[in-house]
Amino acid sequence: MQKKILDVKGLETRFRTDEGVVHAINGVSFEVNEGETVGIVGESGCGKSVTMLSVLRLIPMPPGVISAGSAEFYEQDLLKLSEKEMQSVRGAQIAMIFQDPMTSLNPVLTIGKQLTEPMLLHLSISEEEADRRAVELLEMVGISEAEGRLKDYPHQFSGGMRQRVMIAMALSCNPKVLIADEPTTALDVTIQAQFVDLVKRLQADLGMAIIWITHDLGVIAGLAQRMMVMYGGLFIEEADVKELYANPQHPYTVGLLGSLPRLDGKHAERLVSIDGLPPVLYAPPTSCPFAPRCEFVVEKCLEENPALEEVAPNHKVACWVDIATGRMK
Amino acid sequence: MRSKLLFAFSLLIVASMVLSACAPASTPVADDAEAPAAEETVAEEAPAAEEPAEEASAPALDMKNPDTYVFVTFGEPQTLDPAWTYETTGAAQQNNIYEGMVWFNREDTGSFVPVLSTGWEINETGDIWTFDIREGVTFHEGGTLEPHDVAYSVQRALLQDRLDGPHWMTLEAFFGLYSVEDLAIGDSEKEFSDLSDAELVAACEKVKSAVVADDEAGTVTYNLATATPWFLAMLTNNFLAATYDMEWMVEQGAWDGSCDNWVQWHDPEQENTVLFNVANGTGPYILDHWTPGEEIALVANENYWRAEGDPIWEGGPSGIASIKNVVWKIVDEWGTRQAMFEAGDADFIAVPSQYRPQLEPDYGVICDEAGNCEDASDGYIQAWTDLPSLAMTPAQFNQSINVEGGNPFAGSGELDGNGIPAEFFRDVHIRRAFSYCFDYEAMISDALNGEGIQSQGPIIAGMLGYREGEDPIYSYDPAKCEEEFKLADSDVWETGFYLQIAYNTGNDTRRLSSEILKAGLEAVNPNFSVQVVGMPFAVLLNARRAGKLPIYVGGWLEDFHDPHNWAHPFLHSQGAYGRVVNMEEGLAAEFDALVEEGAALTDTEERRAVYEEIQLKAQEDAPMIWLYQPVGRRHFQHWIKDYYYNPAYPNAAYSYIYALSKGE
Amino acid sequence: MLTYIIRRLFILPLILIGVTMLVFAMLSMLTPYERASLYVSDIPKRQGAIEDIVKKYGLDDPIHIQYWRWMVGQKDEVTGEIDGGILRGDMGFSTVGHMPVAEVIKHRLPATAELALLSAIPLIGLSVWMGIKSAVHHNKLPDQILRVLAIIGWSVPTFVLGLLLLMFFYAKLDWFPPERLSLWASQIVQSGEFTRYTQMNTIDSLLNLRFDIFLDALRHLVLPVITLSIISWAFLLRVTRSSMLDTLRQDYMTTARAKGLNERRVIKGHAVPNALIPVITVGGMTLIGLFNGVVITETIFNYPGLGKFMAASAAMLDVVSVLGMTLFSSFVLVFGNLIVDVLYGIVDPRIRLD
Repeated sequence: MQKKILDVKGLETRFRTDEGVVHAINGVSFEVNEGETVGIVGESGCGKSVTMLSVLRLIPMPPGVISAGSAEFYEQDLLKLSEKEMQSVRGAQIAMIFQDPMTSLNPVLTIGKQLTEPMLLHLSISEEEADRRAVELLEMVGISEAEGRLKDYPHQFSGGMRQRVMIAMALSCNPKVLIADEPTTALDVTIQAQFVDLVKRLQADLGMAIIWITHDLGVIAGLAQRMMVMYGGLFIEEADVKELYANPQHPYTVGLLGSLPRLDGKHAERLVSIDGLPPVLYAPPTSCPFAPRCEFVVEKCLEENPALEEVAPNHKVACWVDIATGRMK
Repeated sequence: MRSKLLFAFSLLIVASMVLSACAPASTPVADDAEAPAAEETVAEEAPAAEEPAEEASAPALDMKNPDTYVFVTFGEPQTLDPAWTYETTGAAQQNNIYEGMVWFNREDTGSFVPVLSTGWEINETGDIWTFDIREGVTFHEGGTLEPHDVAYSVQRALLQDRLDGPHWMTLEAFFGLYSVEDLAIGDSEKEFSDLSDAELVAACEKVKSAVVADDEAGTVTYNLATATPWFLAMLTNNFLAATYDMEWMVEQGAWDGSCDNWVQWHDPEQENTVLFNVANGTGPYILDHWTPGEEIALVANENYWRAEGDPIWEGGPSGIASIKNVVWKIVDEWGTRQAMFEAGDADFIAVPSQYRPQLEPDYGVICDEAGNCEDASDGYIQAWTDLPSLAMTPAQFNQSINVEGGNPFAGSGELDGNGIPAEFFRDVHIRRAFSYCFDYEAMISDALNGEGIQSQGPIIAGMLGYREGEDPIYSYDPAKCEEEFKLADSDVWETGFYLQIAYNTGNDTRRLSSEILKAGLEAVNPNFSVQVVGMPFAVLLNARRAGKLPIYVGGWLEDFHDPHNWAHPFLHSQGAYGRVVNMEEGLAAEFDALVEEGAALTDTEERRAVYEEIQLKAQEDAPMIWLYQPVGRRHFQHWIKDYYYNPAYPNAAYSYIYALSKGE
Repeated sequence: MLTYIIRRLFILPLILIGVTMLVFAMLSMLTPYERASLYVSDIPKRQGAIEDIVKKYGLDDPIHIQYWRWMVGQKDEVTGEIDGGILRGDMGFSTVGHMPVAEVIKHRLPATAELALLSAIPLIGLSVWMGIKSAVHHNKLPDQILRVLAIIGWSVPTFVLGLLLLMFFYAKLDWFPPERLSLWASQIVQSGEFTRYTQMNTIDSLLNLRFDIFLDALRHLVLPVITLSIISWAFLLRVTRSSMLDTLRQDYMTTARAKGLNERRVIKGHAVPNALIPVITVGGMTLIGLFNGVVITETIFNYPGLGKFMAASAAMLDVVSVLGMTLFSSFVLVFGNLIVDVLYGIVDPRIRLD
């Protein structure tokens, strides 16, 4: 029986900019169960990172503001905690790793210092104990001669190794949830595969839930149990992995899957792309945000924003049209 | 942690600075007994002085440093060696440290009192002077004064005769020559460096025979070349008169008094004489220290030979100096000096003429040159005003300009409207025209703020030879200016000319004088074009040496108080200015003859006639435009007492501190 | 690291020679008579005096001969002694300073150093602290105020500020006098009962346990320190601020926060060490520049430092003094640069010095 550990409802986040108020997230809801891996997929700018940063309240408060919603973690609403209480959650209960390993580590502090920092903060252990565990962590993520490397600096590691260090750092306090914000985007392909394997192994050993954000559908396929597709600051489709790939119901998802280059694709076949650019919303969406780019668009799409509705077991989609028929449902 | 530490540390520094500001600003009570007395009388005069911080413009009335005379000015000596010194700053120090045969009788530039002498005799022909040397005089370092010390001092000075030094005057008096090298060369036509040892020894012997000491008789005899009526005046100058302790000097490595290798001490670098920064004299003050760039400090001579009750002149000082310490502070920036004056840290400050109006509101007492003082307001300044100075500024013409290779000052070098030819100023009419085209009144009121008088010629007002009751021939008269131009040999009036007048950048007075001349000339004829150019001293020097400057506005400060020291420099062909005037031979000979005649006569009235003739001729012939004599002021704190103005002092407010005192 | 340092120091003599040659080359643009102006106080009285002076000091010798003379010295014809020569350790005699050049520098350096060090500490400390505060409170009130103050500090001309401060705090209030010491303190310091260790009044007075003189020395330093450091303070503040703003934007800041660190620790532990790296270079060079003296401040407060000396030497064409100061300045700059670079290498682990 799966235990729900994170329950986000109706999350809305806005940013004040010179051009106006940007509605980055417009009512996002999702759940994460203990030990499961959830993938969040979408183009750059659709609001995936902002969602997770909002949950951890790492959004800079001017110019951003979380304007609505709740995020219950073990039945405690994170959005209502004090900053101090939040600090004991970050890094200890929920950890996050980021996209660019080249810039995500502090260049002037040793790896050892950065690794032991969260442990010394959240766990009551001595410095020697922390160092020991740091060495263990490095070995766990596959970095050899770990003990000597504690004194090294980030620039002495390659990109892939840095990302491993990031993971080690994130897992140092045994968090319940690991949020990985596009962790392989900046790595090259072979390293990517190694990294994904590592993460799988770590999850098997430690049992944390993983929220994996990516725009790369290929990578997520082998990793997640459930997938959520995001567009215009909203989830527009949700399904189990196999179901989503086999049976995408939202025109955007179809487009995403179609645009994947396939090894078994026909030679000299042009890659399918979706015309247009993702929207920047200066007001809450009153129509379907994908409508301008959708090949199945009907009049209703421009008048009202569809809500997520179940169309099959564990498969929700937010669309007015049945893409099998091309007509309204 | 790091930034916190830094912040804390800097806060500590700032805090301690603020705290120290609240620390008492005045002298700790440990000072001598004079302090309480001073404070009492101060309290009487101005109760507001208790809280000077409150009133925005309350003058500083607490007499700080009651036993020190703090003299704040710009400039410092080149050296403290009197024999080397030919500038007023060094001379002023030496006036307090060294003594000679005579000194001025208080403010009287014409009468003298004996100092290291007790009396003197002059022979009939006026060329042999014999002085009786005082007994019981001790040097600062302990030696005793004897006649041979006096003779040694003069001989050493003459033999030293450093390049561009003051001894052209002294050697002129003793030998009729201008340098000791010329004395050694004589008629041989050799170079000085090629002279034989014998010839050098001979020169030295000549010098030694010029000043002879008789220790037994207690006299020193000066053998001059000819009758020298101004000899006493010249004897107030330390480059001639300062008396050293011969034994001490030799010990320190100075000339040993023998004629064997005197050349070793001849023409030394400024820093290479024994007396460069140490001193050993007989005077009322002893040199304490000289920190170059900062200050010179003197301290009262506790063993001064002059007994209490035996004053130098009637009613004058005697015994040990009243003011125990003297500090000459070098502060180049006017604003800072003014601040020190207001704060009461300075007893005297040097005030360039353009800043005088700034101080006028705080004039508390105003005195004139005779010492008549009036209360003006409750300001803190004791101002001495309308003080004539023994200085004069002419604009001299170069009558043979070097135009070879191009000379920007002379433009095209031809009389074509774009320049002037080499002998432009040979024409007396042109010189007179220029003299008429100069607005003397504007000069006095604009450039001098009213503090000056127009010169009548080379001889200054009050001096023998000045034509009393007569106005100068020239005044600003465009009509006469035009007339003279038209009388000129060339057709300069039609053609016009162009020339440049150069002045030393930074010297506002000279700049204004140049511009007044320019304005006068250009107003009278549109074809006349004059450009006024400022340049650094180095460039000016270079141009003048090359004979390229057509007009030069210079300045002469008296060396000794006699008309000879005015007529000679300006009009004699060997004079400091006369030698670059390039007068045509006949005229030059006439002037030379007159100047030499005036110098040779002994009878005052005869001399008066000659010098008055020189004065008139110098105007009529106009080898220079005789511009002005400046009038000055001196600014003291009101607690400086017993000051008097002697214009002949190298520094009128510093040269004889022995006579001053501090008190309310 | 050591080889790096040694290599850099090796270049030092070459730089010194190069710079002095440059100065000599500039000299050759002056005529010997212009250079003779140093030795005369006014237009010479005697005919031929200028030419004699030129000959006496060898001012019309070819430039490379004069340079050689400056390097190895000159033999006095009469006494047979050798005078001068940099290679003999003799910098020559400073006409402007009235003592040997080396003496002038030795005499004035402590004053300049005292002023520099005492300015540097609050200057650097305050500006860095304020810059960090400004960046952290970006666009809020403290930031706005500090930015305005920085602009004012940057724009106010030193001499105007200095004179105004002097007029108000000294002439009117008599709180902070110019120069280094009051007369009474100066007399004690120069007497036998006071031992000189460093020639710096603040330190020496503490070592002599004379706190009254210490406070007096501090009092005299207040205004010069404020005057000369205001511009550098403004500059360093802005540099720190922009460096800090830049650092705060970096990804590793988010990483640090995601670890659960509180904001203060994030700023201090993660942002500041990065932000200070460029500040070290700028601050270091500013401090080194102060060791060459500050002409305007020294003139206004009559502070006997190296700045005034250098300016006076240049104005008077006192070549020997200018060259001596050039040597000194070049040495300080090269050495200082080296120290800053080494510091930089220590503080930023990404820099490799070799």
